[in-house]
Amino acid sequence: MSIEVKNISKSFGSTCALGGVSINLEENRIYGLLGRNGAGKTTLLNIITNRIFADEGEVLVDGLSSMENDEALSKIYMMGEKNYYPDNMKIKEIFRWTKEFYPSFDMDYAKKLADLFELNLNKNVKSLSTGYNSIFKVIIALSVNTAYVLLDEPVLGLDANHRDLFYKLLIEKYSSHPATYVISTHLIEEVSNIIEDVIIIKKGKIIKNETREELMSVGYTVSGMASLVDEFIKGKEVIGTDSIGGLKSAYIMGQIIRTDIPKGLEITKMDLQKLFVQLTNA
Amino acid sequence: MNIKVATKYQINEYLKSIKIFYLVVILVLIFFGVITAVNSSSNFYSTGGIEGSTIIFLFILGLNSFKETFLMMLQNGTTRRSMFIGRLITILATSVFMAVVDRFVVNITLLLNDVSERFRVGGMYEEFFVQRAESLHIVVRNLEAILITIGMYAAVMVAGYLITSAYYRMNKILKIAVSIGVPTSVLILLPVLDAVVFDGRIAVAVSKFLRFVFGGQAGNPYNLLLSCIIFIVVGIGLTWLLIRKSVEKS
Amino acid sequence: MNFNEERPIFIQIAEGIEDAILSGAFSEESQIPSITDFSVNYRINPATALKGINILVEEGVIYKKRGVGMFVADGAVSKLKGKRKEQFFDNYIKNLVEEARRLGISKDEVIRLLERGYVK
Repeated sequence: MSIEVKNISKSFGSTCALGGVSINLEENRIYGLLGRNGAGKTTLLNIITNRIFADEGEVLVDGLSSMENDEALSKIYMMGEKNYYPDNMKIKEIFRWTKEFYPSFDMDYAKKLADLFELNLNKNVKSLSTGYNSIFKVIIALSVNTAYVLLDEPVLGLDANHRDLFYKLLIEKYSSHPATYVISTHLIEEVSNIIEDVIIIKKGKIIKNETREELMSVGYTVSGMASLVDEFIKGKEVIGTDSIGGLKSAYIMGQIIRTDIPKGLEITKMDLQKLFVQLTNA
Repeated sequence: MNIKVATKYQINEYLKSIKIFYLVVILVLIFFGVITAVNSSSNFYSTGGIEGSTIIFLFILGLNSFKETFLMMLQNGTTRRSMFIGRLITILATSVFMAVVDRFVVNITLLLNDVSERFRVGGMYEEFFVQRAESLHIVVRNLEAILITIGMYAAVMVAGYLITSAYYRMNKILKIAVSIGVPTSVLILLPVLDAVVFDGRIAVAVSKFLRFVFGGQAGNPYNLLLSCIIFIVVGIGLTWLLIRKSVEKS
Repeated sequence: MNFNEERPIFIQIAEGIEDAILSGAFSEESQIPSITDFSVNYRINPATALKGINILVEEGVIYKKRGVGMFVADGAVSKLKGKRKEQFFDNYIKNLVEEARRLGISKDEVIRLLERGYVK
């Protein structure tokens, strides 16, 4: 059981949005789909959910092509950054229709979450602030109980308390009803401890696709006097450097071999955010 | 398959507008009815007015049948195909329902004609096919009228649906070009061309075509029904070609 | 518990529970919170929490009772003290000496400072 994205390419006019993307989204895992703005995150999610069509390649949901296939699509809920619900529809009506389209939607749970977030169910979509526009969709995503839940920038416009509440509810839900979650975001620090697998997309290409632990075990920073650093990084995979005066920091991909660190150099681990920034710098 | 729920959703979309429409129609009828009854110098002439307003209403309804629904369906894991089939069912159901209701309203207003000379109210069918309407048994006449009306209603809804689906696929420039280009060519360019180059032969052809549609001298309503059916079939085909490749636009 | 990114989160979770056992917050033979409790509370992936707790289960500090939950093992405190003592030299003394060398603090001076630390 998985979503298999097979060699997907997509261009808009002359710009290539995705170039030969292949990933596997396995059962009951939490993925972080990380990329800078315009890297192709939303395009990829839109193709998976049949909102747009790929130029090449295919997406299989539990073995079924997701293109124009109700059965495959009913296994996925996608919360998009953009609003797809009618502007004049009240939230409670949206909940009611969601239940029609996704019978596994848990209405009682959704109402409970609406209480927690203080979302007024009698408001219509149009009258919601950016934050609450994300909130009502997040509530649906957490209540819909599909095998795959795709979250595109889920915390857009949410204040710190609501963001924290969302992450808490997400883990609670994931613990009680495991499903595959894909969190697409550029706010890496916040999801860093929640995600199990990291997919980094850069200019329409997947540049990293591994578990968080694997990725974190290979990135480190070495800093010290510029000359020493330059000597040390020879032959290593350097993904970026910073320097202030005579001090230099180099960001390196690879295992740290503790024994061959020369005196005067300091080695620190890179956190996911730093790693991401270095990997996705132009 | 999501056809069932897609149909239910799309019927619901229409239901609200239809309720408001009939509320307005009934209020207008009562208003003028009362005025005519009370004020002896006023007249109430309307033939085909009820169906006429329904046709305009359904055309506008057709024009509003795509974008919002499409996005809602995409959000809810429903394919273009299910949405489209659901919409066709909705259009048929709406046409049948409104044709029956309108016929009912027309029959009530026809009763007014017996009350006073100052009431001249009738259905569009009776307006178009005067002689035939008078020659038929009342039950047959009403059944035939309903059938023809269903065809007309479905045709205008399909027309609206086709136009809005086509507009969705166009970019801004094309939209403007079509919005200006089509009316000017039909209303200005074509008549001018006809007068200057074709010596009025286009006008003759058009009037011949219209005469056929409305059943010629004999006033055969099935010509109109046939024309509607041909239009519906072609319209549905074209609309599907547009919708099957429609994508969300950011 | 505050995480830093220097070391894997699951190790930090394990250490956090060790600290709680050493401080007596989780006493021997008492039940500790579930994997879900830990992951929800610290906003971490349940797989990470599980991995951290499994380290302690393997070390015999924590044991699982099927269908009931997880408990601090009898003798966990002394076991942990032993382990921490072993790590004391690597974690603290080595760093201390290294920094002292960098600053040019002599061995005698370090010892004197240590004594001062005990007096306080």
